[in-house]
Amino acid sequence: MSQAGGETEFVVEAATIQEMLTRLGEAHPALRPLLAKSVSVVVDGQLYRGAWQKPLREGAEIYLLPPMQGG
Amino acid sequence: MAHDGKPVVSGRKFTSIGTRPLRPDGIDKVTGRARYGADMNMPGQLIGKVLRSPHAHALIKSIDTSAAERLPGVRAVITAKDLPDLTGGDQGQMDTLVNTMARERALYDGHAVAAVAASSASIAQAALKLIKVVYEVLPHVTDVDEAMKPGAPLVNGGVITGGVTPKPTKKSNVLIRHEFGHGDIAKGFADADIVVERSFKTEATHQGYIEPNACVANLGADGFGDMWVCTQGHYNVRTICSQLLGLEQSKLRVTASEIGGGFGGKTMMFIEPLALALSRKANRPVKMVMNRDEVFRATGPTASSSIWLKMGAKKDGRITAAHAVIKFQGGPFGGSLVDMGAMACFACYDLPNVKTEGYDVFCNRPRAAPYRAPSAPMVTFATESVVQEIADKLGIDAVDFRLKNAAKDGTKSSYGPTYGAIGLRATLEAVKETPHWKSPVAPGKHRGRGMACGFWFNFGGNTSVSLAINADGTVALAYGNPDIGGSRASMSLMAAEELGIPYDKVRCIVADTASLGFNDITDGSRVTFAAGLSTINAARSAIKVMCARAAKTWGISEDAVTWEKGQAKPAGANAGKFEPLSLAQIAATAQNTGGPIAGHFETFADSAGVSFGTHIADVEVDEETGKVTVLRYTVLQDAGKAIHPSYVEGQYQGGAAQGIGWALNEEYIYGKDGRLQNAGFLDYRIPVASDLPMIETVILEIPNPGHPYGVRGVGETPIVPPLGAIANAIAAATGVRMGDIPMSPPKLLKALEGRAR
Repeated sequence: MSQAGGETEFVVEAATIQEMLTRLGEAHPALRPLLAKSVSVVVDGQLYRGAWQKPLREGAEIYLLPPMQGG
Repeated sequence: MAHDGKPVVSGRKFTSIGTRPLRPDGIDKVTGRARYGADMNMPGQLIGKVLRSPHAHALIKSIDTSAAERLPGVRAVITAKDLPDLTGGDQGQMDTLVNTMARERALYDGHAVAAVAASSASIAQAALKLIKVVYEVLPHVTDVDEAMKPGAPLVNGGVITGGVTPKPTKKSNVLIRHEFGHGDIAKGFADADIVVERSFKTEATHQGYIEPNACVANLGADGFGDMWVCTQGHYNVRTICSQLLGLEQSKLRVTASEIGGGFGGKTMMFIEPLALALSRKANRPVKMVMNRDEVFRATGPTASSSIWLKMGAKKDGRITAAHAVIKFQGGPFGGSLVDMGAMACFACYDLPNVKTEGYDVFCNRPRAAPYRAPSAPMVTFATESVVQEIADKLGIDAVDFRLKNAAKDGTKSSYGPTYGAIGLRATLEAVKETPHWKSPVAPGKHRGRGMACGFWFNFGGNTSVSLAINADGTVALAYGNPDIGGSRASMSLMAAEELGIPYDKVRCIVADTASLGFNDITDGSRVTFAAGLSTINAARSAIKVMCARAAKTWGISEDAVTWEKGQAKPAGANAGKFEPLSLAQIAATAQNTGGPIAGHFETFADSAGVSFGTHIADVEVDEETGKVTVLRYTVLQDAGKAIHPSYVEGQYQGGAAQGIGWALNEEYIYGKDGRLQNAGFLDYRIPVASDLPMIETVILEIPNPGHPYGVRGVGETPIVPPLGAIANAIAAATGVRMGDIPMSPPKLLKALEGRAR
């Protein structure tokens, strides 16, 4: 992620997807526009595009992916 | 292989689910009574027409509309000046605005530069000819590789590439670079016994929907508006049109017409904001219907691509590394969806070392639109071609090689996340049991068999459903997604199943934007999953109310009532002895027990579950002409749970048919002048029934735990494998491995001649 100075892995403490995105934005302000609008979140293999209140378990595998479009 | 019987998901035996009733919109569609986009007319309506750029790239020096405005019968003429920038800095909306109507530059052949509303189509057409546009023609580029070269004409002024560190200082046509992967590909290739490296190109294809884009817009002087639109997402039409025209969403009501195909192409807007702007200016309803030339030149085809792919494997067939560099052009604004291609490229395989790089590139072509599993068919063509070539060189059976490397539960996917329960291996194992795979290729010259796997993400999204119990015991079900693939039938089946009533007691409609909460577009294979999930929950909500009414009637606690087979019953002996009350009985007395009964459900549905499929193709190649005939074709795919198996099969067959057309014939052909040369179905050849064999289908049902009945979306994956499967079949038939799509007669003949030399 060029907005995060090339960093690709982040450690944040958060109880929900929403909190995780907020913490990430605080740590990397340049990411905020991306996080606010156009990101998909995969938690333990499950894709989330909007259910940001999803609780996160300790040590959950989380990936931030580009927004998805279908046909 | 037909799906039959009533299989069990999670121990549940279904009554309605898995049956094949007639679709509720069927009679209307076969008798011509169904109203499509162009069938709507309003009193006093005008006809709108668009003037389009004849240049691939040009500065618009001036537009003189005065003569057109003076023509009797002309009520409004608009240019970009009538569509001021109200996007608030939203780049995506700005791209839509500029694509809808060119501002300083015409960015592709067919780009709208002005529009007219007149009392007849002929007057509107005549008015277009009176509009004087002065262009300064600029250098153009329509090929993705050419657009990336230093010194290439900068499309739309060029851009500083994102996703690159350090940030570039010079503008180019590359909007952004994406990268996905894990492991150490250098080590993986060093460990390989065999490495195959190839380059591929795929041309842009159109979604090829039979019904051209059409709409009627009516925006009154009071600021209230109505639109009737042929679209995959009428809520999205409302969102974008209201923003671009500065309207409050509540003042614009959009109704979706019947839709004659979309396949992703009707997820975007082209004429709708123009019709609304013309209506506002003329103070009259305005109808706009694109002709086929406009559909090809100005609505979204897919991206075209250039792909380099390298893969290494051990002698035992285990893939050790894979690397792909993927370049997509998606028109003058970016948004080619190359990121999804980079994620989907190796998603079928369990790879220890993998890397994909994606480049989103500007070209002077129409803005790309999603097309059924957008981006996956092109990259999968490259991957499956190389996978098969390695299998052949190692002398390993095509299915066994893929099984050895197939992603499975717990695999770290090539794009990052770890897979949960997935069905790729099940489709591969099922291949061996098909009559097709068990039979040899029918005898004949230059015949061969190929196979390929494919992946699609699937997703859910915003969904709102309302279900009303009518006084006569029938049910009115309203959801908010245009019905493209038979979803009214599927929703009705799920409502009937949950309520315990016959399918024909449910009438399902696609509601307008004023009637339900927001619904996302019909895309991403989401509707049967997300709207179905919501329908089931809306039915459960109504059941809860009906149980409460029965409890009130009997004078017992609501907790003491249960719902079984369409009836409220006392939950047990302690609840008391009462004759069950049917849905119809409860409905008949509703006004005396508390009033109307309805159920609602609103959600952002996630947990859609990824999808995999495997295809088998037998082809015959005419080595004198280069023509390929598909002799036999089979689709195997996991549906999670097939709600209406005929429509699942239809999706499998339709996706395969479109993929075969893409593989063999369909392509955008640009001249040196940057103009599209084949903007019509005579010169852009989609397959017709006589081009195809009966496509055999195998529905696998590995339940998606994220849906009450186990449903996975099925609409997109079937278009992913055909390009690779056909290429592999041609290679088996001729020994020639094609790198370019389409593998049309001229290209294949040239390759065959090259082989001969």
